[in-house]
Amino acid sequence: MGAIGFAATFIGTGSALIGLVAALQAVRGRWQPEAATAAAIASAIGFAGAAAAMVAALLTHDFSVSYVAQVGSRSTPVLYTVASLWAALEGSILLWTLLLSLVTVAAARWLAGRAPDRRPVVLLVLLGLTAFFGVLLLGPGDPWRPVSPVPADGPGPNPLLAQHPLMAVHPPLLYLGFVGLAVPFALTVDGLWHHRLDQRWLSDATQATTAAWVPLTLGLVAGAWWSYAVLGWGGYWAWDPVENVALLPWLTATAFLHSAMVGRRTGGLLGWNVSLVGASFILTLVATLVTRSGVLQSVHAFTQSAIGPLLAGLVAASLIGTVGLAVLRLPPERAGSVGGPRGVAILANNLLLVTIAATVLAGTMFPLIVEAVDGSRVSVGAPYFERIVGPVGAVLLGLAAVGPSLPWGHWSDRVATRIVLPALAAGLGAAAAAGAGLGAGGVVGLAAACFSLAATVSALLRRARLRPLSIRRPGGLVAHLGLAVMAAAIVMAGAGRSDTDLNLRQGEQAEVAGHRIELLATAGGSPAGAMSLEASVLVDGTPLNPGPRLTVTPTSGRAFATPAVRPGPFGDVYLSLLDADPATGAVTIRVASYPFISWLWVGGGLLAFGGVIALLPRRRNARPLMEVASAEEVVGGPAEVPTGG
Amino acid sequence: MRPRVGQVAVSVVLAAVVLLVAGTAWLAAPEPTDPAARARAIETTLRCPTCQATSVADSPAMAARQMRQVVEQQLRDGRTDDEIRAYFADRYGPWILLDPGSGGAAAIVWLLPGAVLLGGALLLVRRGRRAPMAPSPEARQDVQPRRRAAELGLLATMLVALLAPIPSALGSRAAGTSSSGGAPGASPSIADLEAWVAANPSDAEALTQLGDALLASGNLAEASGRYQSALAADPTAAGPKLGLAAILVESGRADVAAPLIDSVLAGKGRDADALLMKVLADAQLYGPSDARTHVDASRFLAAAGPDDPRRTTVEAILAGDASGPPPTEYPGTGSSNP
Repeated sequence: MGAIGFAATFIGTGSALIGLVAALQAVRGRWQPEAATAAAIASAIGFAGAAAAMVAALLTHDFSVSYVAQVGSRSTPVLYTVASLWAALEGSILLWTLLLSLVTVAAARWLAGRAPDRRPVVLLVLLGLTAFFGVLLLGPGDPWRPVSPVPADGPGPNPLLAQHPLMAVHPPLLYLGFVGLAVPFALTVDGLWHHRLDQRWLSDATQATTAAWVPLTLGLVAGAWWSYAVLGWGGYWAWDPVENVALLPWLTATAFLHSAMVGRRTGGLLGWNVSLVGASFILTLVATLVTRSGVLQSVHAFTQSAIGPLLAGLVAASLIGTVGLAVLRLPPERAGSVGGPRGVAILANNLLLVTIAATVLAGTMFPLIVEAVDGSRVSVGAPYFERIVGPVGAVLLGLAAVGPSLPWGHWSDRVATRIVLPALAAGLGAAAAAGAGLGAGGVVGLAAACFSLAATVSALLRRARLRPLSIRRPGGLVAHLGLAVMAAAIVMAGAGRSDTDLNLRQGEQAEVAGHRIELLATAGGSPAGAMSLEASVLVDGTPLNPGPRLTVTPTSGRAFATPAVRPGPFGDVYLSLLDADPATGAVTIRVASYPFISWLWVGGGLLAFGGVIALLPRRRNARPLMEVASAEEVVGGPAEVPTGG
Repeated sequence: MRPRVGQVAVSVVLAAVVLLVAGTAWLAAPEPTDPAARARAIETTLRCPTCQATSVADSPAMAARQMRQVVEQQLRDGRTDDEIRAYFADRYGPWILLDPGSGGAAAIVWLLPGAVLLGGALLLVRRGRRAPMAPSPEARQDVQPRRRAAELGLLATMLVALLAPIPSALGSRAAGTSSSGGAPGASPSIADLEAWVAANPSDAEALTQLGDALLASGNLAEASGRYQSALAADPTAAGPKLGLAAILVESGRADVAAPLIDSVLAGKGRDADALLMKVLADAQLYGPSDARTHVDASRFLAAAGPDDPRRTTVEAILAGDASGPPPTEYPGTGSSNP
């Protein structure tokens, strides 16, 4: 299997390199871009074959393949055996490369019917990236190295990664979002190179960014949910460097989706839009570099694998290339109207999103820089991020509420009446939070969330009443609704949480936070060499299945408390098994309650669904927004376009 | 342009909402007198030393539970919040504090978001005030030939950036990692070192290396002499102190070794080599199951890299296996392993 996999990887990489030459010839006008497309398809087939061979090797427990010997195990269930494809470094790069080659083919086909003359440069960039990662897979990241003697069994994936089915969807979605952001970047390189950063470019780049933003959003939410369901501390976001670097491209891509609206209305903000697209793509490379080079364990682990320096080279080359190309070829900025009150709100949104991104980037990189400079280790953790991102996020939430209701052109007094209801809701939210004893952060947060919720719902209702949905689809409003729901859930679950550590013997029960917890029995086991203990618990008279579990792996000496959750629309009961006394059968269970936390996942789904709505094809009789924008350019200024939202 | 009635109304309503919410928030802010709330406030700012990024307040790990007990105990003893944080920072190094503080270089992290926000806002205001200017499409045509050379240069720079890591990548695969390397090369033989030391009798680093090499070869008596010469040449050097401590622990005199190790730890709180010696000394002085041994062991595990081969030694001690694998990795020799 190892030989087949290596051959497939070789075909994929070779095709990408051939395609790179073909794309270069197409850019010079000598070959047809179809040649490069054909090579891209061959490359995608090669990497699909390689990934299939790896899955087959994992499923057949072929431990002669180094990657299988590293993450495989005969005792791992089938789902997690397949998911082991992305459980370690080499497999992750294989998945990344496969998705990149598939996205390349999709982009070529999409552009063939839309903007065929943009294919050569786009394919040049995307095939160049595919070839880079292909070379990584053939050299320092080779998962197919033969192992001799062949071990009888393997250690299996990191036990944390084999606990919850969300692990099967979270990394592929996140990677799909990451590689998808290479498409708008490639379109921007084409626009800079051929001096055509026009409305067509803006519209295509927006669509491509939205298409990547949807899986990226879902991947981030799935990651948060996984973390809540598996890590046992009840949190969904720890401001861990791995999480932070994945959030960065999302922040800048979201900023671009907003600033592109100003660009389409006024034709301005060209340099800013180019910067946001470039930053989003380069931040996805930074995320790969930070998570895949070992730099997080220690700055000094960085050079132990060849992958880190090579990825750093790619980041540096992309950064230099993008900045250089922009300096040399970016046309002079058209300073004009920013698009009325709506444009000002969008620019403020961009400023706040970029501030959050700068905060997250600085806080994540600071410990690495300090360690590299003087060898000492410092931490920048949740207290720092929450203190800055919290207030900025509350203002952002308020903007998301009023922004879509503001006019592009001139101010109209009709807008003023729209603020009364949300203002009342904010007051109610603040009063409710104060009444529930949620503290200062809870009061401000819930007020902002209620404000945003009320404003967005009323805007959606207005939109539905005033005009057919085919003309301006409510994708943005649905996304804002999701954001407000998420914010409300974050505030209520965070400020309203409570936990108690219970000491229970078999048959004992206790009343905690309005819930009756009864310990029926404990059962031990030793799957895959680990010592495991599961408690059977009744919550409010009904059994929780599976119960909370404590697993100790003797090899690493680490304990994993896999929680058991009873979800509900008004709040979750969250049990973690902390300790057990084998002599008496008594256990220590932490019983936590998180009000309304399920709505975080619902809101995350709505957020991504907003992006899906924006991607749906328009009805034929609807006038595309782009034409409206170009008509404005002819008359020399933004026309008063009545907006329902 | 005079503001419209609607704009005024919106501003008034928004200001009223913000004031109301801020006032409610101010009233709702809890007084931190409740000891449980105070303990939690402190615990959320402490890092659980054996977890990825969770705080002591949230982590179910054993180390976090022990630290929570320490926080509660110190609160009962009437210590202030800052004193308790300082206690942990002192024991584990500043790494244990999730909040980077605001002094020194950490000020950058706090100032940067404000600078971005302020700078961006200023740019926006300036942009808003600038008069609209007509686009000049002809500007882009005539600059193209002149920039040809610049573009080629850009391409060359990109290629250099992309290809530059390859030699180092190949090097790191071929040679493995090498230590920083003293004067006579990365891993010199005892004979080379003897020759170097004979020529440079006050080179503390070379003397320490020689001591390490002798210690690794089992020649404790001669190693001890070299370490003492190194200390005489540089009384603040950590290497010879740890070497001497290793010899003392090996000969059953952990009581004499302990102050030496503590003086190294006082200088650099989270040095894995020193912490390993501390754990070995603790295990000898108090026994492997004593709380002091466990605290130092968790400090070592937090400081050591994930692939550090010496982890197994300490984990064996933690598991109560007093015989354990022998501590073959001595302080000076440990760091030269990949």
